[in-house]
Amino acid sequence: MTARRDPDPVISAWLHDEAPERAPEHLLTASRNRIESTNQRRAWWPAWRLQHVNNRFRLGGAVAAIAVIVVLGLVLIQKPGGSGGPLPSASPNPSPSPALSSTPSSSPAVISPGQICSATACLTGTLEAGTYSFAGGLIPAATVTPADLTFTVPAGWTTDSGYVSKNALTMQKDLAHLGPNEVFFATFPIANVFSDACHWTNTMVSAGTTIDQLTNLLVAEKGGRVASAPTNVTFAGFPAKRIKFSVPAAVGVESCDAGVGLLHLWPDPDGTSNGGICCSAVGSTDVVYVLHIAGEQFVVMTRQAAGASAADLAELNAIVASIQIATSPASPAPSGASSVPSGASPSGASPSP
Amino acid sequence: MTNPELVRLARDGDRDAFDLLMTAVIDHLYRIARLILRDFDSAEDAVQEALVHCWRDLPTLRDPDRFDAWLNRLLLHSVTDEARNRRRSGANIRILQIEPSQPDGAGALADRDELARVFNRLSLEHRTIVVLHHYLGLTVDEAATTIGIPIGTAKSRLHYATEALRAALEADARSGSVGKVLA
Repeated sequence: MTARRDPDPVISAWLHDEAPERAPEHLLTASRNRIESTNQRRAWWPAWRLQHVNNRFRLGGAVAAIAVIVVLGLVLIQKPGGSGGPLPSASPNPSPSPALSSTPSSSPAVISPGQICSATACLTGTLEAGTYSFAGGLIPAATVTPADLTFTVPAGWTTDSGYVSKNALTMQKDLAHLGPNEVFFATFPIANVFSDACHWTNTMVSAGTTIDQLTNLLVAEKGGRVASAPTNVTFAGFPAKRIKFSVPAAVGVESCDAGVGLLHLWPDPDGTSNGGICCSAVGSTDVVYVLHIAGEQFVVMTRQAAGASAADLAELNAIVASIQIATSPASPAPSGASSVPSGASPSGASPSP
Repeated sequence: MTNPELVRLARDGDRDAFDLLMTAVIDHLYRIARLILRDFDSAEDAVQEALVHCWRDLPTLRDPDRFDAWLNRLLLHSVTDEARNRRRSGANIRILQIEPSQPDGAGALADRDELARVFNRLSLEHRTIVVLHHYLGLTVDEAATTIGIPIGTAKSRLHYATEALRAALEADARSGSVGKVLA
Protein backbone atom coordinates (compact mmCIF):
# COMPACT_ATOMS: atom_id res chain seq x y z
CA MET A 1 0.00 0.00 0.00
CA THR A 2 1.39 3.34 -1.00
CA ALA A 3 1.62 6.04 1.66
CA ARG A 4 -0.57 9.05 0.88
CA ARG A 5 1.36 12.13 -0.06
CA ASP A 6 1.00 15.13 2.26
CA PRO A 7 -0.15 17.83 -0.13
CA ASP A 8 0.07 20.77 2.25
CA PRO A 9 3.69 21.83 1.60
CA VAL A 10 3.23 21.45 -2.15
CA ILE A 11 0.02 23.48 -2.17
CA SER A 12 1.54 26.17 -0.02
CA ALA A 13 4.67 26.40 -2.16
CA TRP A 14 2.59 26.48 -5.32
CA LEU A 15 0.38 29.31 -4.04
CA HIS A 16 3.41 31.36 -3.11
CA ASP A 17 4.81 30.82 -6.59
CA GLU A 18 1.50 31.72 -8.16
CA ALA A 19 0.97 34.93 -6.19
CA PRO A 20 1.99 38.01 -8.12
CA GLU A 21 4.80 40.09 -6.71
CA ARG A 22 3.06 43.43 -6.90
CA ALA A 23 -0.21 45.06 -7.80
CA PRO A 24 -0.13 46.97 -11.08
CA GLU A 25 0.63 50.65 -10.69
CA HIS A 26 -2.62 51.72 -12.35
CA LEU A 27 -4.59 49.91 -9.65
CA LEU A 28 -3.22 52.20 -6.98
CA THR A 29 -3.94 55.24 -9.13
CA ALA A 30 -7.50 54.14 -9.88
CA SER A 31 -8.14 53.37 -6.23
CA ARG A 32 -6.84 56.79 -5.20
CA ASN A 33 -9.14 58.46 -7.70
CA ARG A 34 -12.18 56.69 -6.34
CA ILE A 35 -11.31 57.31 -2.73
CA GLU A 36 -10.82 61.00 -3.40
CA SER A 37 -14.50 61.24 -4.26
CA THR A 38 -15.69 59.01 -1.42
CA ASN A 39 -16.73 60.22 2.00
CA GLN A 40 -16.31 58.21 5.13
CA ARG A 41 -19.36 56.77 6.78
CA ARG A 42 -20.32 57.94 10.22
CA ALA A 43 -19.49 55.58 12.99
CA TRP A 44 -22.41 54.54 15.12
CA TRP A 45 -20.06 53.81 17.97
CA PRO A 46 -20.87 55.21 21.37
CA ALA A 47 -17.69 57.25 21.65
CA TRP A 48 -18.88 59.34 18.74
CA ARG A 49 -22.36 59.68 20.07
CA LEU A 50 -21.40 60.37 23.62
CA GLN A 51 -19.73 63.56 22.54
CA HIS A 52 -23.17 64.71 21.56
CA VAL A 53 -24.91 63.43 24.63
CA ASN A 54 -22.63 64.56 27.36
CA ASN A 55 -22.40 68.12 26.23
CA ARG A 56 -25.89 69.46 26.06
CA PHE A 57 -24.70 72.90 25.19
CA ARG A 58 -22.80 71.62 22.20
CA LEU A 59 -25.75 69.58 21.12
CA GLY A 60 -28.11 72.50 21.49
CA GLY A 61 -25.71 74.69 19.60
CA ALA A 62 -25.40 72.15 16.84
CA VAL A 63 -29.16 71.81 16.53
CA ALA A 64 -29.58 75.57 16.45
CA ALA A 65 -26.83 75.92 13.85
CA ILE A 66 -28.37 73.25 11.71
CA ALA A 67 -31.78 74.89 12.01
CA VAL A 68 -30.30 78.16 10.79
CA ILE A 69 -28.55 76.39 7.96
CA VAL A 70 -31.72 74.57 6.97
CA VAL A 71 -33.58 77.87 6.78
CA LEU A 72 -30.78 79.46 4.78
CA GLY A 73 -30.53 76.38 2.65
CA LEU A 74 -34.23 76.43 1.90
CA VAL A 75 -33.98 80.06 0.87
CA LEU A 76 -30.82 79.69 -1.18
CA ILE A 77 -31.07 76.22 -2.58
CA GLN A 78 -34.68 75.99 -3.64
CA LYS A 79 -34.48 76.08 -7.35
CA PRO A 80 -35.60 73.78 -10.14
CA GLY A 81 -33.98 70.39 -9.78
CA GLY A 82 -32.63 71.03 -6.30
CA SER A 83 -29.48 69.16 -5.50
CA GLY A 84 -30.88 65.69 -5.27
CA GLY A 85 -29.94 64.38 -8.66
CA PRO A 86 -29.05 60.81 -9.38
CA LEU A 87 -26.23 59.37 -7.39
CA PRO A 88 -22.94 58.63 -9.02
CA SER A 89 -22.55 55.03 -9.99
CA ALA A 90 -19.81 52.82 -8.68
CA SER A 91 -17.82 53.29 -11.84
CA PRO A 92 -14.05 53.44 -11.46
CA ASN A 93 -13.89 57.22 -11.57
CA PRO A 94 -17.12 58.75 -10.37
CA SER A 95 -17.45 62.49 -10.41
CA PRO A 96 -17.50 64.09 -7.01
CA SER A 97 -21.02 65.02 -6.01
CA PRO A 98 -21.67 67.75 -3.48
CA ALA A 99 -24.95 66.10 -2.57
CA LEU A 100 -23.39 62.79 -1.71
CA SER A 101 -22.31 62.86 1.85
CA SER A 102 -22.11 60.33 4.58
CA THR A 103 -20.28 62.56 6.99
CA PRO A 104 -21.77 65.48 8.87
CA SER A 105 -22.42 68.28 6.49
CA SER A 106 -22.87 71.95 7.27
CA SER A 107 -25.31 72.48 4.41
CA PRO A 108 -28.15 69.99 4.36
CA ALA A 109 -29.42 69.56 0.84
CA VAL A 110 -32.97 69.72 -0.33
CA ILE A 111 -33.43 66.52 -2.26
CA SER A 112 -35.80 66.16 -5.17
CA PRO A 113 -37.60 62.89 -5.87
CA GLY A 114 -35.29 60.25 -7.31
CA GLN A 115 -32.68 57.85 -6.09
CA ILE A 116 -31.33 58.62 -2.63
CA CYS A 117 -29.17 55.54 -2.08
CA SER A 118 -26.95 54.00 -4.68
CA ALA A 119 -25.29 50.67 -4.05
CA THR A 120 -22.47 52.42 -2.27
CA ALA A 121 -23.67 55.70 -0.81
CA CYS A 122 -26.72 57.63 0.33
CA LEU A 123 -27.74 61.25 0.16
CA THR A 124 -28.36 63.35 3.23
CA GLY A 125 -30.91 66.10 3.30
CA THR A 126 -34.50 67.22 3.42
CA LEU A 127 -36.85 65.35 1.13
CA GLU A 128 -39.34 67.13 -1.04
CA ALA A 129 -42.68 65.38 -1.23
CA GLY A 130 -42.48 62.63 -3.82
CA THR A 131 -41.25 59.17 -4.66
CA TYR A 132 -37.72 58.07 -3.86
CA SER A 133 -35.70 54.94 -4.33
CA PHE A 134 -32.88 52.89 -2.88
CA ALA A 135 -30.83 51.04 -5.46
CA GLY A 136 -30.52 47.36 -4.88
CA GLY A 137 -27.17 45.71 -4.76
CA LEU A 138 -25.26 42.81 -3.39
CA ILE A 139 -22.35 44.56 -1.80
CA PRO A 140 -22.73 43.35 1.75
CA ALA A 141 -21.13 46.27 3.50
CA ALA A 142 -22.73 48.96 1.46
CA THR A 143 -26.16 48.29 0.20
CA VAL A 144 -29.38 49.12 1.99
CA THR A 145 -31.48 46.71 -0.02
CA PRO A 146 -30.87 43.66 -2.17
CA ALA A 147 -33.40 44.84 -4.76
CA ASP A 148 -34.48 48.28 -5.93
CA LEU A 149 -37.01 49.73 -3.54
CA THR A 150 -39.24 52.78 -3.94
CA PHE A 151 -41.43 54.69 -1.51
CA THR A 152 -43.35 57.93 -1.38
CA VAL A 153 -43.02 60.57 1.33
CA PRO A 154 -45.01 63.71 2.12
CA ALA A 155 -43.22 66.96 2.87
CA GLY A 156 -41.31 67.32 6.11
CA TRP A 157 -39.18 64.20 6.05
CA THR A 158 -35.41 63.93 5.99
CA THR A 159 -32.94 61.24 5.05
CA ASP A 160 -29.46 60.22 6.06
CA SER A 161 -27.58 56.96 5.49
CA GLY A 162 -30.72 55.34 4.17
CA TYR A 163 -32.83 56.31 7.19
CA VAL A 164 -35.99 58.21 6.37
CA SER A 165 -37.05 60.21 9.39
CA LYS A 166 -39.37 62.83 10.72
CA ASN A 167 -38.44 64.93 13.74
CA ALA A 168 -34.93 63.49 13.88
CA LEU A 169 -32.81 64.94 16.62
CA THR A 170 -30.46 66.37 14.04
CA MET A 171 -30.37 66.37 10.29
CA GLN A 172 -27.39 64.07 10.49
CA LYS A 173 -29.25 61.37 12.25
CA ASP A 174 -27.90 60.50 15.65
CA LEU A 175 -28.56 56.82 15.63
CA ALA A 176 -28.04 56.47 19.33
CA HIS A 177 -30.58 58.99 20.38
CA LEU A 178 -34.02 59.02 19.03
CA GLY A 179 -35.66 62.41 19.00
CA PRO A 180 -38.40 62.55 21.63
CA ASN A 181 -41.14 62.50 18.99
CA GLU A 182 -39.21 60.99 16.11
CA VAL A 183 -40.36 58.35 13.68
CA PHE A 184 -38.29 56.69 10.98
CA PHE A 185 -38.00 53.71 8.70
CA ALA A 186 -34.92 52.00 7.36
CA THR A 187 -34.07 48.84 5.47
CA PHE A 188 -31.37 46.29 6.17
CA PRO A 189 -30.06 43.28 4.31
CA ILE A 190 -29.12 40.94 7.13
CA ALA A 191 -26.50 38.22 7.06
CA ASN A 192 -26.05 37.93 10.82
CA VAL A 193 -27.83 38.88 14.00
CA PHE A 194 -26.75 39.01 17.61
CA SER A 195 -28.22 36.43 19.91
CA ASP A 196 -27.89 38.99 22.70
CA ALA A 197 -28.50 42.64 21.85
CA CYS A 198 -27.06 43.83 25.13
CA HIS A 199 -23.98 41.66 25.57
CA TRP A 200 -23.58 41.30 21.84
CA THR A 201 -19.84 40.77 21.69
CA ASN A 202 -19.12 37.33 20.24
CA THR A 203 -22.82 36.52 19.90
CA MET A 204 -23.10 37.01 16.16
CA VAL A 205 -24.94 34.15 14.49
CA SER A 206 -26.01 33.54 10.93
CA ALA A 207 -29.36 35.06 10.01
CA GLY A 208 -30.34 31.84 8.29
CA THR A 209 -31.88 31.48 4.89
CA THR A 210 -35.60 31.60 5.54
CA ILE A 211 -38.03 34.14 6.88
CA ASP A 212 -38.93 31.86 9.75
CA GLN A 213 -35.31 31.39 10.76
CA LEU A 214 -34.59 35.10 10.92
CA THR A 215 -37.91 35.77 12.64
CA ASN A 216 -37.16 33.21 15.32
CA LEU A 217 -33.68 34.64 15.85
CA LEU A 218 -35.02 38.16 16.28
CA VAL A 219 -37.77 37.11 18.64
CA ALA A 220 -35.30 35.09 20.70
CA GLU A 221 -32.71 37.87 20.80
CA LYS A 222 -31.84 38.61 24.39
CA GLY A 223 -31.31 42.08 25.71
CA GLY A 224 -34.58 43.18 27.17
CA ARG A 225 -36.79 44.12 24.24
CA VAL A 226 -40.23 42.59 24.38
CA ALA A 227 -41.31 40.94 21.14
CA SER A 228 -44.86 40.41 20.03
CA ALA A 229 -45.90 37.12 18.51
CA PRO A 230 -44.85 37.22 14.84
CA THR A 231 -47.71 37.51 12.41
CA ASN A 232 -47.88 36.54 8.77
CA VAL A 233 -48.35 39.49 6.47
CA THR A 234 -47.83 40.34 2.86
CA PHE A 235 -45.43 43.19 2.44
CA ALA A 236 -45.13 44.89 -0.94
CA GLY A 237 -46.48 41.71 -2.41
CA PHE A 238 -44.01 39.45 -0.62
CA PRO A 239 -44.66 37.03 2.20
CA ALA A 240 -43.28 38.46 5.41
CA LYS A 241 -43.41 38.22 9.16
CA ARG A 242 -44.24 41.22 11.28
CA ILE A 243 -42.83 41.57 14.78
CA LYS A 244 -43.36 44.46 17.15
CA PHE A 245 -40.69 45.20 19.72
CA SER A 246 -41.02 47.46 22.70
CA VAL A 247 -38.46 48.56 25.24
CA PRO A 248 -39.94 48.67 28.73
CA ALA A 249 -38.59 51.18 31.19
CA ALA A 250 -37.39 48.37 33.40
CA VAL A 251 -34.81 47.28 30.87
CA GLY A 252 -31.42 48.02 32.36
CA VAL A 253 -29.03 48.62 29.54
CA GLU A 254 -26.29 50.38 31.50
CA SER A 255 -24.15 47.27 31.61
CA CYS A 256 -24.45 46.44 27.92
CA ASP A 257 -21.35 46.07 25.80
CA ALA A 258 -19.64 49.34 24.94
CA GLY A 259 -20.64 50.52 28.36
CA VAL A 260 -23.10 53.21 27.49
CA GLY A 261 -26.44 51.53 27.68
CA LEU A 262 -27.23 50.61 24.14
CA LEU A 263 -28.84 47.62 22.52
CA HIS A 264 -27.23 46.53 19.26
CA LEU A 265 -29.75 44.52 17.29
CA TRP A 266 -27.84 43.34 14.24
CA PRO A 267 -24.61 44.25 12.44
CA ASP A 268 -23.91 45.26 8.89
CA PRO A 269 -24.01 42.23 6.64
CA ASP A 270 -20.28 42.30 6.02
CA GLY A 271 -19.20 39.63 8.47
CA THR A 272 -17.97 42.11 11.05
CA SER A 273 -19.84 43.13 14.17
CA ASN A 274 -19.90 46.77 13.13
CA GLY A 275 -22.71 48.98 12.00
CA GLY A 276 -26.22 47.73 11.58
CA ILE A 277 -28.84 49.11 13.89
CA CYS A 278 -28.67 49.78 17.55
CA CYS A 279 -30.01 51.87 20.24
CA SER A 280 -33.61 50.98 20.94
CA ALA A 281 -34.58 53.62 23.47
CA VAL A 282 -36.74 52.97 26.50
CA GLY A 283 -40.32 53.72 25.51
CA SER A 284 -39.66 53.35 21.81
CA THR A 285 -41.34 50.82 19.57
CA ASP A 286 -39.83 49.02 16.61
CA VAL A 287 -41.85 47.20 14.01
CA VAL A 288 -39.84 44.79 11.93
CA TYR A 289 -40.96 43.17 8.69
CA VAL A 290 -38.85 40.14 7.89
CA LEU A 291 -38.60 39.29 4.21
CA HIS A 292 -36.48 37.18 1.91
CA ILE A 293 -35.72 39.15 -1.24
CA ALA A 294 -33.46 38.23 -4.14
CA GLY A 295 -31.92 35.45 -2.14
CA GLU A 296 -31.09 37.71 0.80
CA GLN A 297 -32.53 38.01 4.27
CA PHE A 298 -34.02 41.46 4.41
CA VAL A 299 -35.72 43.63 7.00
CA VAL A 300 -37.80 46.77 6.77
CA MET A 301 -37.96 48.43 10.13
CA THR A 302 -39.87 51.34 11.61
CA ARG A 303 -39.11 52.98 14.91
CA GLN A 304 -41.23 55.44 16.82
CA ALA A 305 -40.28 57.38 19.89
CA ALA A 306 -42.54 57.42 22.89
CA GLY A 307 -43.73 60.92 22.02
CA ALA A 308 -44.45 60.35 18.36
CA SER A 309 -47.70 62.01 17.28
CA ALA A 310 -50.61 60.19 15.70
CA ALA A 311 -50.25 62.35 12.61
CA ASP A 312 -46.60 61.42 12.18
CA LEU A 313 -47.39 57.76 12.73
CA ALA A 314 -50.04 57.96 10.05
CA GLU A 315 -47.48 59.42 7.67
CA LEU A 316 -45.01 56.70 8.58
CA ASN A 317 -47.67 54.05 7.93
CA ALA A 318 -48.44 55.58 4.57
CA ILE A 319 -44.78 55.68 3.60
CA VAL A 320 -44.22 52.07 4.55
CA ALA A 321 -47.40 51.07 2.76
CA SER A 322 -46.12 52.76 -0.38
CA ILE A 323 -42.97 50.65 -0.52
CA GLN A 324 -42.53 48.70 -3.70
CA ILE A 325 -39.75 46.24 -4.33
CA ALA A 326 -38.56 45.72 -7.87
CA THR A 327 -38.23 42.01 -8.00
CA SER A 328 -40.77 39.35 -8.69
CA PRO A 329 -42.71 38.12 -5.67
CA ALA A 330 -43.46 35.07 -7.77
CA SER A 331 -39.94 33.76 -7.29
CA PRO A 332 -39.90 30.67 -5.11
CA ALA A 333 -39.93 31.50 -1.44
CA PRO A 334 -37.38 29.70 0.67
CA SER A 335 -38.59 26.88 2.82
CA GLY A 336 -40.03 28.19 5.99
CA ALA A 337 -41.50 31.17 4.25
CA SER A 338 -43.67 29.20 1.92
CA SER A 339 -46.23 28.62 4.62
CA VAL A 340 -46.93 32.32 4.88
CA PRO A 341 -50.24 32.81 3.12
CA SER A 342 -50.20 35.51 0.52
CA GLY A 343 -52.72 38.18 1.20
CA ALA A 344 -52.78 37.67 4.94
CA SER A 345 -52.99 41.42 5.11
CA PRO A 346 -53.29 44.09 2.46
CA SER A 347 -50.17 44.25 0.34
CA GLY A 348 -48.11 46.55 2.45
CA ALA A 349 -51.20 48.65 2.71
CA SER A 350 -51.58 48.69 6.43
CA PRO A 351 -48.39 47.61 8.07
CA SER A 352 -49.12 49.66 11.12
CA PRO A 353 -46.11 50.45 13.26
CA MET B 1 0.92 44.07 10.96
CA THR B 2 -0.32 47.45 9.85
CA ASN B 3 0.66 50.42 11.97
CA PRO B 4 -2.27 51.03 14.34
CA GLU B 5 -1.48 54.73 14.61
CA LEU B 6 -1.82 55.05 10.87
CA VAL B 7 -5.13 53.24 11.09
CA ARG B 8 -6.31 55.62 13.81
CA LEU B 9 -5.39 58.65 11.75
CA ALA B 10 -7.10 57.26 8.68
CA ARG B 11 -10.13 56.32 10.75
CA ASP B 12 -10.35 59.94 11.84
CA GLY B 13 -10.49 61.04 8.24
CA ASP B 14 -6.82 61.68 7.45
CA ARG B 15 -6.63 60.96 3.73
CA ASP B 16 -2.84 61.13 3.64
CA ALA B 17 -2.66 58.47 6.32
CA PHE B 18 -5.06 56.32 4.36
CA ASP B 19 -2.98 56.74 1.24
CA LEU B 20 0.01 55.38 3.14
CA LEU B 21 -2.10 52.51 4.43
CA MET B 22 -3.38 51.75 0.98
CA THR B 23 0.09 51.76 -0.51
CA ALA B 24 1.23 49.37 2.19
CA VAL B 25 -1.56 46.84 1.74
CA ILE B 26 -2.43 46.92 -1.94
CA ASP B 27 0.09 44.26 -3.00
CA HIS B 28 -1.15 41.93 -0.29
CA LEU B 29 -4.76 42.44 -1.32
CA TYR B 30 -3.99 41.96 -4.98
CA ARG B 31 -2.17 38.70 -4.37
CA ILE B 32 -5.08 37.23 -2.45
CA ALA B 33 -7.67 38.46 -4.96
CA ARG B 34 -5.76 37.09 -7.90
CA LEU B 35 -5.14 33.75 -6.26
CA ILE B 36 -8.82 33.32 -5.50
CA LEU B 37 -10.38 34.84 -8.59
CA ARG B 38 -7.77 33.56 -11.05
CA ASP B 39 -8.36 36.56 -13.24
CA PHE B 40 -6.47 39.83 -13.66
CA ASP B 41 -9.33 42.23 -14.25
CA SER B 42 -11.63 40.79 -11.62
CA ALA B 43 -8.85 40.86 -9.06
CA GLU B 44 -8.19 44.52 -9.76
CA ASP B 45 -11.87 45.39 -9.47
CA ALA B 46 -12.19 43.47 -6.21
CA VAL B 47 -9.19 45.20 -4.67
CA GLN B 48 -10.45 48.59 -5.71
CA GLU B 49 -13.86 47.92 -4.19
CA ALA B 50 -12.29 46.65 -1.00
CA LEU B 51 -10.15 49.76 -0.65
CA VAL B 52 -13.09 52.08 -1.24
CA HIS B 53 -15.13 50.22 1.36
CA CYS B 54 -12.18 50.27 3.70
CA TRP B 55 -11.91 54.04 3.50
CA ARG B 56 -15.65 54.58 3.73
CA ASP B 57 -16.24 52.21 6.63
CA LEU B 58 -13.04 52.75 8.56
CA PRO B 59 -14.80 54.95 11.17
CA THR B 60 -16.79 51.89 12.19
CA LEU B 61 -13.65 49.93 13.08
CA ARG B 62 -13.34 50.09 16.82
CA ASP B 63 -10.01 48.41 17.35
CA PRO B 64 -7.18 49.51 15.03
CA ASP B 65 -5.23 46.42 16.03
CA ARG B 66 -7.81 44.35 14.17
CA PHE B 67 -7.40 46.30 10.97
CA ASP B 68 -5.66 43.52 9.04
CA ALA B 69 -8.32 40.91 9.78
CA TRP B 70 -11.06 43.42 9.05
CA LEU B 71 -9.48 44.37 5.74
CA ASN B 72 -9.16 40.73 4.75
CA ARG B 73 -12.88 40.33 5.38
CA LEU B 74 -13.68 43.35 3.25
CA LEU B 75 -11.56 41.93 0.47
CA LEU B 76 -13.26 38.55 0.61
CA HIS B 77 -16.64 40.22 0.33
CA SER B 78 -15.46 42.17 -2.68
CA VAL B 79 -14.02 39.02 -4.19
CA THR B 80 -17.34 37.23 -3.72
CA ASP B 81 -19.24 40.12 -5.26
CA GLU B 82 -16.87 40.27 -8.16
CA ALA B 83 -17.27 36.57 -8.81
CA ARG B 84 -21.06 36.95 -8.66
CA ASN B 85 -21.01 39.86 -11.05
CA ARG B 86 -18.72 37.98 -13.36
CA ARG B 87 -21.06 35.02 -13.40
CA ARG B 88 -24.05 37.22 -14.05
CA SER B 89 -22.47 39.16 -16.85
CA GLY B 90 -20.92 36.08 -18.39
CA ALA B 91 -17.80 38.12 -18.85
CA ASN B 92 -14.88 36.56 -20.58
CA ILE B 93 -12.04 36.20 -18.20
CA ARG B 94 -8.37 35.95 -18.67
CA ILE B 95 -7.42 32.87 -16.75
CA LEU B 96 -3.97 33.01 -15.38
CA GLN B 97 -1.38 31.06 -17.26
CA ILE B 98 1.01 28.90 -15.38
CA GLU B 99 4.28 30.71 -15.38
CA PRO B 100 6.80 29.16 -13.05
CA SER B 101 8.87 31.87 -11.51
CA GLN B 102 12.11 29.95 -11.66
CA PRO B 103 13.62 26.94 -13.39
CA ASP B 104 12.25 23.76 -12.05
CA GLY B 105 12.44 20.04 -12.42
CA ALA B 106 9.99 18.32 -14.69
CA GLY B 107 8.23 16.64 -11.76
CA ALA B 108 7.61 19.88 -9.93
CA LEU B 109 6.42 21.49 -13.13
CA ALA B 110 3.92 18.73 -13.63
CA ASP B 111 2.76 19.15 -10.05
CA ARG B 112 2.17 22.82 -10.62
CA ASP B 113 0.39 22.25 -13.85
CA GLU B 114 -1.96 19.73 -12.32
CA LEU B 115 -2.49 21.79 -9.19
CA ALA B 116 -3.40 24.80 -11.27
CA ARG B 117 -5.87 22.82 -13.34
CA VAL B 118 -7.62 21.40 -10.29
CA PHE B 119 -7.44 24.62 -8.30
CA ASN B 120 -9.06 26.56 -11.14
CA ARG B 121 -11.92 24.08 -11.15
CA LEU B 122 -12.61 24.39 -7.44
CA SER B 123 -15.49 26.61 -6.41
CA LEU B 124 -14.81 30.13 -5.22
CA GLU B 125 -15.54 29.05 -1.65
CA HIS B 126 -13.05 26.22 -1.83
CA ARG B 127 -10.35 28.36 -3.41
CA THR B 128 -10.92 30.95 -0.71
CA ILE B 129 -10.39 28.56 2.17
CA VAL B 130 -7.31 27.09 0.48
CA VAL B 131 -5.76 30.53 0.03
CA LEU B 132 -6.53 31.62 3.57
CA HIS B 133 -5.14 28.45 5.08
CA HIS B 134 -2.28 27.50 2.79
CA TYR B 135 -1.19 30.94 1.61
CA LEU B 136 -1.98 33.30 4.46
CA GLY B 137 -1.32 30.62 7.04
CA LEU B 138 -4.56 31.15 8.95
CA THR B 139 -5.82 28.37 11.15
CA VAL B 140 -9.17 26.87 10.24
CA ASP B 141 -10.76 28.80 13.10
CA GLU B 142 -9.23 32.04 11.91
CA ALA B 143 -10.24 31.36 8.33
CA ALA B 144 -13.80 30.60 9.41
CA THR B 145 -13.98 33.87 11.30
CA THR B 146 -12.53 35.80 8.39
CA ILE B 147 -15.00 34.34 5.93
CA GLY B 148 -17.86 34.50 8.39
CA ILE B 149 -18.81 30.82 8.30
CA PRO B 150 -19.07 28.18 11.00
CA ILE B 151 -15.86 26.35 11.81
CA GLY B 152 -17.40 23.05 10.75
CA THR B 153 -18.15 24.47 7.33
CA ALA B 154 -14.61 25.79 7.01
CA LYS B 155 -13.19 22.40 7.96
CA SER B 156 -15.42 20.67 5.48
CA ARG B 157 -14.48 23.03 2.67
CA LEU B 158 -10.80 22.78 3.41
CA HIS B 159 -10.98 19.00 3.58
CA TYR B 160 -12.75 18.77 0.26
CA ALA B 161 -10.40 21.18 -1.47
CA THR B 162 -7.28 19.61 -0.04
CA GLU B 163 -8.46 16.15 -1.03
CA ALA B 164 -9.11 17.36 -4.55
CA LEU B 165 -5.65 18.85 -4.77
CA ARG B 166 -4.11 15.76 -3.20
CA ALA B 167 -5.88 13.60 -5.75
CA ALA B 168 -4.48 15.77 -8.48
CA LEU B 169 -0.98 15.31 -7.22
CA GLU B 170 -1.43 11.57 -6.83
CA ALA B 171 -3.00 11.19 -10.25
CA ASP B 172 -0.14 13.09 -11.72
CA ALA B 173 2.36 10.94 -9.89
CA ARG B 174 0.68 7.77 -11.12
CA SER B 175 0.21 8.56 -14.75
CA GLY B 176 1.71 11.86 -15.58
CA SER B 177 -1.56 12.63 -17.27
CA VAL B 178 -3.75 15.57 -16.48
CA GLY B 179 -7.40 16.39 -16.30
CA LYS B 180 -8.59 13.23 -14.62
CA VAL B 181 -9.42 14.71 -11.29
CA LEU B 182 -12.83 16.06 -10.53
CA ALA B 183 -13.89 15.34 -14.06
